[in-house]
Amino acid sequence: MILGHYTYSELVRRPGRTLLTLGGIVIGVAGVFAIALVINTTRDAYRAMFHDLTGWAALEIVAEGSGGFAASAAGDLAAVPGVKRAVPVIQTVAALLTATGPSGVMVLGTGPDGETAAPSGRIVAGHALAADDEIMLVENFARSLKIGTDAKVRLLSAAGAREFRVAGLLEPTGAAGFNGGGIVFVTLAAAQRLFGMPGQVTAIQLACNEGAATGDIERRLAERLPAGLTVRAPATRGQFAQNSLMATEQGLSTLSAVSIVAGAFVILNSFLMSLGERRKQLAILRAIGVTRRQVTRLLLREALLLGIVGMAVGIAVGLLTSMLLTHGMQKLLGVRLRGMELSLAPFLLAAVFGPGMAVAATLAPALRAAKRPPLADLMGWKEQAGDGFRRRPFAVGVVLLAISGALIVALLANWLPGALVKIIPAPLMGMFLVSGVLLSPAIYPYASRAVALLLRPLWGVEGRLAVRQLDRNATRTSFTAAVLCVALVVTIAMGQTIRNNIGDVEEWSLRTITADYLVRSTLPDLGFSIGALLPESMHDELAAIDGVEQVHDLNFVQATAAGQPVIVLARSFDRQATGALDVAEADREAVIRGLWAGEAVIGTALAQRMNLAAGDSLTLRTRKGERTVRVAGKVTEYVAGGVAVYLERGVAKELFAIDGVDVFMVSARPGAATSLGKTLAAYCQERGLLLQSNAEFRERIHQMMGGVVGFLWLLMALVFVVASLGIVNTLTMNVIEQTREIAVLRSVAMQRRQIRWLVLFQALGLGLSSLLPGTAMGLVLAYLMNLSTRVLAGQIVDFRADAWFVAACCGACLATALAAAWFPARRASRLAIVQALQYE
Amino acid sequence: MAADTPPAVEIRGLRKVFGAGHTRVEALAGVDLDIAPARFVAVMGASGSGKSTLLHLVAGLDRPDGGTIHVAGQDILALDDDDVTLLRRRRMGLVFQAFNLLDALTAEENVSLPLVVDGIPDAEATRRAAEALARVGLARRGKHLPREMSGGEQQRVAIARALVIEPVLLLADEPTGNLDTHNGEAVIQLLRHLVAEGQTILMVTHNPAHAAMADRIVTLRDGQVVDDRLLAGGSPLPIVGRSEAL
Repeated sequence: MILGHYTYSELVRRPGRTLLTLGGIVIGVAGVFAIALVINTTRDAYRAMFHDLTGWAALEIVAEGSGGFAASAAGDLAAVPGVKRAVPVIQTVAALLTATGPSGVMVLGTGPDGETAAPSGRIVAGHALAADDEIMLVENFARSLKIGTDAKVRLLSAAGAREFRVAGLLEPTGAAGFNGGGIVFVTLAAAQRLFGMPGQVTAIQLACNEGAATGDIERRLAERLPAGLTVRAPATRGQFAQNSLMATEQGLSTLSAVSIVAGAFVILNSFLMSLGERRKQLAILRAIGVTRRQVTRLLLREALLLGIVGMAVGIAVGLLTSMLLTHGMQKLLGVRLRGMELSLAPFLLAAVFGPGMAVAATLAPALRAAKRPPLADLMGWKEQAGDGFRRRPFAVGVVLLAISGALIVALLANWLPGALVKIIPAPLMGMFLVSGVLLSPAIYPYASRAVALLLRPLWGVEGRLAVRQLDRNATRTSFTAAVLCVALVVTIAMGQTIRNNIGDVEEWSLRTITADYLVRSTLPDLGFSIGALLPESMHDELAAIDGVEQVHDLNFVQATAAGQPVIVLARSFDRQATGALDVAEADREAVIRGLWAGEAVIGTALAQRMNLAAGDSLTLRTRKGERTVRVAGKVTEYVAGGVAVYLERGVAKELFAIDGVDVFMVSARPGAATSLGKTLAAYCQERGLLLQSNAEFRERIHQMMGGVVGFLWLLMALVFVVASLGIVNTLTMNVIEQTREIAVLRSVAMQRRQIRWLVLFQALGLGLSSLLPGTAMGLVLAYLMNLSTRVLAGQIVDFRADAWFVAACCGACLATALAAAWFPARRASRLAIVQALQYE
Repeated sequence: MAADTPPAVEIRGLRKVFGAGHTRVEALAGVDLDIAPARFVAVMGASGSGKSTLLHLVAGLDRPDGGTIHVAGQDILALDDDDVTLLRRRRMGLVFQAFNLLDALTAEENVSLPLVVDGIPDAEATRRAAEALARVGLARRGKHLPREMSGGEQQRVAIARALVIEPVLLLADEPTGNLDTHNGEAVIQLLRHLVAEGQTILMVTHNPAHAAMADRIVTLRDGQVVDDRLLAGGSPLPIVGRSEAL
């Protein structure tokens, strides 16, 4: 109790220090918690979305390419052992045309005895479906479109537009909760008419007997299904979203590792200082009989207490942060994510990285404090140099650097197993940065000397005294400089990588989408990469419009290649495939020739994952069974994270029974783009279609990336905030230690302004010492990240170092250091001279 | 004092050297000293004579370069750091010139701290702390923080903290050094009173008036005992042999 009171009193006695330490923990925990939560939420949202949609169904039969098929083709599924019930449905996307414009919706059509989750949703207005010209909408979605019961709306599909009456509104639960309520319920007959699929369905949903092994049933079904049909768990549809999200998730995870490392070193720094201040107190404890182990436990208990409080606050901050990030993810994915999935994992991570990080960062200083002989501290004797503390961290730093170097080589050489490749970037980044910080005491003296030499002519006596004070506590100074250096390294490396990738995506869109206008029903989402199909007959209508030079058709088809879910981009080309493919092969002509000959052109990410190259074979599951096609070459592709296969549309149409078009790409005759735009706008408005100009399309890509990229920048800025906490700590401690010196300086000569500069120069020294190693390491890391992008995501992005960006990062580094020095500088300049002269 | 009563402290050939080469200083150069139980021994000497070093070595706060120290029959040089700490916790009370109280804790908490760290339940520790504070005349000041007390009161709290463990030996390093005359004398009277109750005290001081309150004055110069005299009724006796004096 008394020791607990002592611990509490010590924390309260130095509120500034305690808050700074807490700040480090909170930022680390909040970063990890928010990122884990958002990644989980996004993944679970896709899983849950399809689970809600299918309700009770454990499995479903679908056609390869996700088109329609005759329900009878699957045979008597209910006779398969383990299958309890088989319900044919139509589940596909259409455009809901309302006064507010077209909205992409999932249309769910079930038979009168169809047992889906839909009927279980509570009707909050109107009545259940009673006729084939009726639909049911979800209440909140309908309200957002200003639609009520009995309203007349049109649904647009590849078979054209049809009018329906809103029979009732459902509460957003079960299937009605799909994608934030973006779902329309109709009868099966109505859906068949709407999509022009008489007698066909898009899926047969299967309920299994209780306790039956789904895997066994899936195997039995797969054996008896005819070519062109496949069985799968409904939730596997979320795989497409995961492909698209992989690079983003890795970027976020890497930054969460950075926030932990930076936070841990702020805690370490903070505790080193706290222990420095409390040496005498600890010596008193030792003198009256407290053992070393008890001192260690006392200090670790303090850290644990801070860690627990930091964890609680960090979780709260993380929750708020995750809302921001979720908003960004929604923009990126183009779907409405449900509420936060508060699973156990983010809380466990917070528990490990809050108290765990605090205790781990405190362990070394606590052990060191406990080992100190009490007499020297009791008598206030000056510390003798060479306490051996630097040697061990240096050795650990060397070992970690060697391990991370070896792992980087293994990663780049593709020697690591696939599962490890996916999870290693974040810990690798953490290890690399920890090694850098631990090695910093060995590097700092050289950097400090260089800065002192460089600036000696400029900064006068205040500067010289500042450098001397920094050097007096080299370990503390070097750790602080190292945390600032980490911020600089991360900002340069991640920022450079983000800028290179954004540049590449934008250039890719310029190279591949050369059409002046895109005509589509609705905007597709990143997870499905599928929008509502438009009638193929529109091709001729568009081609006949005055000013149109050519029209190309594009479909996104969900398919399976070599057992892996892929998106097939079925596109029509001109003979040269001008402005259609961002070919990543030396011989472009050969790739185009192959494409026209029915070969596949694959995204670099898919090539990387499946280790495919031009000339290899790729097996696609099609409506006609498995078809092996030759790989004509690779292209840079960002649709579905590059896990994509290009096929000439005629070939794809035959393989996947495509009926309808996702996007018409319309090119204008030279000089006719503006007038064509007006004509197309009128054409689309009349039919409730979406028209995008080339510029609007690119702007949309920019906006989609904006949310998450903005969050990445925010996280990087937070690392600077963490570094600034470290600087405040260090400089405050320096001011405390220099109290008597400052008083002497004030009493003999120096003005308050000069004392302020004395502290500001310390900050400048810290900042400048970080610049050279930080910039060099940042650029090296950026280059390594660029190389690893090829292994991790399969994307080949040109590395371009942007001198202005690097200069801006260096400026931010110095500005952070100076801003963080403001409080300590103010404190130093306002010391009461007489009391300060008596300070011990 | 019976001749066969073992001494509370037995020091033989104690040596301590600080620094090396031209900065080498021999703080203690072969000190022999026995302190009988229930005696009040004052160590005097000029600055740098080695008196504080002697006290630190006896407290186990530092290690000598030669010689032996036995406290209550225990060879403290044969103990490792943990065992020396336990010895200090259970058998020795320390009083410093600068009081060395923990600012964050009340007087009562400061006094009970050695008991609490020894695993004695809080309630029992608090009760004994209150008794110790009463012994030093601070029964009503237990809930006060050190900063709310005068220097003399703080030093009495420090003495109570030393006494609470019922030590075999109380070591006081210039206990009146930071106090005014009035408080200094009060503290010395308190120590004198404790000796009358059977407490053994080794006190380092440079104040002859306070040293005169002891039973015996040992004077050090350049790390050696140059004077060792027994006092009786406030009158110094002539220098006598160590064992005879005891």
